[in-house]
Amino acid sequence: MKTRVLWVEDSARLELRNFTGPLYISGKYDLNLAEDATTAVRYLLAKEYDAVILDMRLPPGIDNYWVNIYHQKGKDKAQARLGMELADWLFNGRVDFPSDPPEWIKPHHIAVFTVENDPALRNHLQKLQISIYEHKTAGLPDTILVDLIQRVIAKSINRKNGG
Amino acid sequence: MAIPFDGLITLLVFLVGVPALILQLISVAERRVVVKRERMDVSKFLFWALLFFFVGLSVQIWATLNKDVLGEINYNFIEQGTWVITFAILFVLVLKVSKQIPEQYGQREKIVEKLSQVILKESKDKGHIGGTVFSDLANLGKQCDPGPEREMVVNAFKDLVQGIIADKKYSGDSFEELIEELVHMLVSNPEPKDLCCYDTSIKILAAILSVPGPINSDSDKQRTLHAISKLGRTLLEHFESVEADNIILDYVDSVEFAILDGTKMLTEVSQTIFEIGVCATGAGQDFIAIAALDKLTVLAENRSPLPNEFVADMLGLVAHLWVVEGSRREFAAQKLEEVKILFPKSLPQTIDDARIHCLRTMYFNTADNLEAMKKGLRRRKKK
Repeated sequence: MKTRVLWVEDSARLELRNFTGPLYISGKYDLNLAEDATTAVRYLLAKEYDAVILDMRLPPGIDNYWVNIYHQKGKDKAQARLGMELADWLFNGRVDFPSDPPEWIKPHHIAVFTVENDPALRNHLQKLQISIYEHKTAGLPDTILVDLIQRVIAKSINRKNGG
Repeated sequence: MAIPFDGLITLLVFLVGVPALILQLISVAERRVVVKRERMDVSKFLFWALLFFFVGLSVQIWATLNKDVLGEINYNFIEQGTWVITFAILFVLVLKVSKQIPEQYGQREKIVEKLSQVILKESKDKGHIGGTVFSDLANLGKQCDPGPEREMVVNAFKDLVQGIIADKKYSGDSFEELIEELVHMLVSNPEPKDLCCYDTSIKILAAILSVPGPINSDSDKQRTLHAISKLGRTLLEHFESVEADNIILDYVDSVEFAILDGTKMLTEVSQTIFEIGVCATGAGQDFIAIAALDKLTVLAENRSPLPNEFVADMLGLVAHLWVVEGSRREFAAQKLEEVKILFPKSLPQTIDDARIHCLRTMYFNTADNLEAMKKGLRRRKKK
């Protein structure tokens, strides 16, 4: 069975081919790309994934819940950090979102891949037990997405084996 | 004191002039909607203006005829009071017109918002979107300039879809006209400025596809898949930008929502991906073609036995890559090795079945490519 991957990322436009090309060509992955919080939630509620690669700076999409948060935080992706909000919804017991988070997802399914390099953000993610974090910076290899997925899978296997 | 016709006429002309000016300033499409639907409330304002004008005039005539009875002082008081009051009322009306008409009709957002509210209310009663008001909104979208103006209408479509699918009464058959108009609006005259509309459109279509079952009808989902195919192909043929890659990938990805709660629509989904994939190979967009083929192989996994139509779509897309010599052919050969275990019959026999299916459905190029692939595979085997 192919490895099911959700990549939540809105600004992959320039690197899209480089990053996703290795996934498509290998034929080993079932990849979905969500460009905003609404689409990400839709995929997460509809399907189980082996790995979720999550960006922090996301647009809200069309769901009013995310649109409202985005507006409250000044319509600024960097300030709104909807990726963080998504993680909070998944693992921090947010109650005001209309749907409950899916039961299958655990912090070890997540890898954060973002341009943000804020220690406070990292601490918050650590508190949510999301430990795989890759700072999106210049000079990353084109296989970075595959590498991140492998790290998530390795962690999941490790947990299964009681590590 | 003589009747102040100059002042009165100026105010009356102003009352007619402000709406007329606004009408001239807005686009033809908006003007048509406004005149047809609301008549800009001008008649109401004019009615009141003329009424007060004639009341003032009547009082003036009465006072003139009874000047002797009233006496000079009373006459002057009544005359001046009459025109002060009449002017004051006319001024208030002019101010109202000057404020209200541009607010209501001077901006496209206001017109679109008003129409959307009416459509949403009507459609919740009727159970589907359609009718004269919706036609007005759709015509506004078709006739306006591409880019931000058209995006306003597409956003209104988005709000309508969200409003309807959030309703528990939604039965799965509400968006026939909306989907048709959306496709017509974007496909009939594709413009690079409309790229944002394609982005919003796939969000609308994905929202329709991901309505969880059970719903009474699959009609909206079927129409949505056809719309995704048509819009996706138009994107590939007419838009060349890095942004477009991302959006078209959303088109390929989102079709999966249609089968997440069952495989009933598997062949519609495979046909949509096939059509986009074939278009991508024709447009030299290998990235999208490979993404489409990858999606088909993902869907094929764990869905045994695969319907013949699905197999024809998958092999058909592989064949379009195969016919180009070089690395595309190598990739196609690699894919064939990967998927042949999914077929109950031998690969040549399966390719033949796929070719016959393509002939029947008039995908002649694909049928020819499948034939070429079958012969090529036979030659490879002999070597």
